[in-house]
Amino acid sequence: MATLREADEKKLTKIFHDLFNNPVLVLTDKLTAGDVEGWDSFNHINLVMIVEEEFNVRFSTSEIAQLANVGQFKELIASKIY
Amino acid sequence: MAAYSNVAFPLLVAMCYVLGQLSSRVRRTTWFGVLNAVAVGVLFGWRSLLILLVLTLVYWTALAAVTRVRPGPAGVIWVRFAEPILYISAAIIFIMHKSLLEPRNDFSSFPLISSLSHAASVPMIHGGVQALQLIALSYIFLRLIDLIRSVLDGATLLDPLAMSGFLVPFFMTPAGPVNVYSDHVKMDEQAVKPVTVANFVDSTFLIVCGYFLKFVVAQLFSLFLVGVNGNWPTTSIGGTAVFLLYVFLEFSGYSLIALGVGCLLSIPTPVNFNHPYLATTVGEFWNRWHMSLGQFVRRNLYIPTQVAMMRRFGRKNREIAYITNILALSLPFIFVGIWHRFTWSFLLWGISLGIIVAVEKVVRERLFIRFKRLHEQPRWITMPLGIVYTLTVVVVTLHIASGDFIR
Repeated sequence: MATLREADEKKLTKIFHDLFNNPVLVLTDKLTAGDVEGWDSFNHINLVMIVEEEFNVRFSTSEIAQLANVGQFKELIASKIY
Repeated sequence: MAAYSNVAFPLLVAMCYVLGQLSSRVRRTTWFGVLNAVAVGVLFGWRSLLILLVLTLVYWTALAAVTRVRPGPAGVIWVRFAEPILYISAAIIFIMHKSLLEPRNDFSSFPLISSLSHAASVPMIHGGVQALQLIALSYIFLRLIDLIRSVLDGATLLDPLAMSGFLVPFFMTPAGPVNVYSDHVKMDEQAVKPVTVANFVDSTFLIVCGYFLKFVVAQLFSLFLVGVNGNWPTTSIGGTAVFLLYVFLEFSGYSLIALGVGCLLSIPTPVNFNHPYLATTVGEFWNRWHMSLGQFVRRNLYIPTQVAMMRRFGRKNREIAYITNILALSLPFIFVGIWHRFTWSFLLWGISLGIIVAVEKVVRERLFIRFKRLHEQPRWITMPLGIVYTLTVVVVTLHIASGDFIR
């Protein structure tokens, strides 16, 4: 199971802070859309698009649809970039 | 619903439960495909099974040809050429089914639908569509779309027998829930759950609750309100509200039966209802009602449309991105309307729901959240108000289509 390196984890955290306008948000693996104000269907796709740009990766619609929490998202990013 | 009242149904479930434990040498999806084929043949007829296997083989061959293509420019062109053909072919089968077997089709004068109706009246095609109708062609269509998209997205292509087990799982026929291809594929990575008393009791409890809801509560409710041969009242909004409650009792009943059997056999089966009458917005109601259909449109329509539009128009212009999101949000409701019936009233129902859910989103994000920050109200006030608003809107919009729905 791939895990994100510290620098990439920081990069992802900053994306979340900027997108959801919440600088104190802590990215635990179990964090879900229901826990973050403003993380709706629109911002979910927006988040994925920003991550694609920042990490220079591309996700399929299946991968996007199956994301259930931040932990899975980190694993997915790690599997693409390492 | 005939499958659940067929005396062979519990025997077939027991057969799959016992023989399912013997699948260690064969892939689980394939072994379930074999057992499922027997169950489909017994419950729905060997002709339906034969047509299902032919249909499965056709799509398996097509998908195998597309996915095994060599990488490179020629491969990309071949996939781009084949992808729409696969989706269109599934849509053609669905339209033929709707044209031939629905009691009413308001779009029969449209040239495309009219031509397909004529083609479907050829005896051989007619017979094939009728055989597939017995095993719920509307749901086969949804599963075919999920299968095609998942495989083209990189999911493993199952063998034809395993694929037939995904397309028509006997205990989810003829009315759903809509299972997920990627979940079905994962069965091969998981060992068969050991037989435990707890799992057996939990699964049996779900099945018994489902039977009780469907065959006792829903039937008594129906008998009490409209009698043995009575017709559901559709002229008043109150009649529609009562009918909606009846549909909930019956539909959630057989969804529970399917869920229980799925748990018992360790076959991935989605939950279909999550207290829809407690929803405080219309959007939330449809996230809690027939959830597997909602998740299907999210996976196969909303996300691909939204991602494609964002990649096409960019996300930098937030207003354009927001408008594309509103459009992508409305589209699934229009699809769901048409999927239910080919009538103007169902199309209107889908459009009205799409507009309402889009307006709800704009109001919530642009007005309500700001208002909430300034004037926080206790949940015991907002929740009942939300429930009353939601049920009123759901019933009034359903009233638009209720005549067609009951037919």
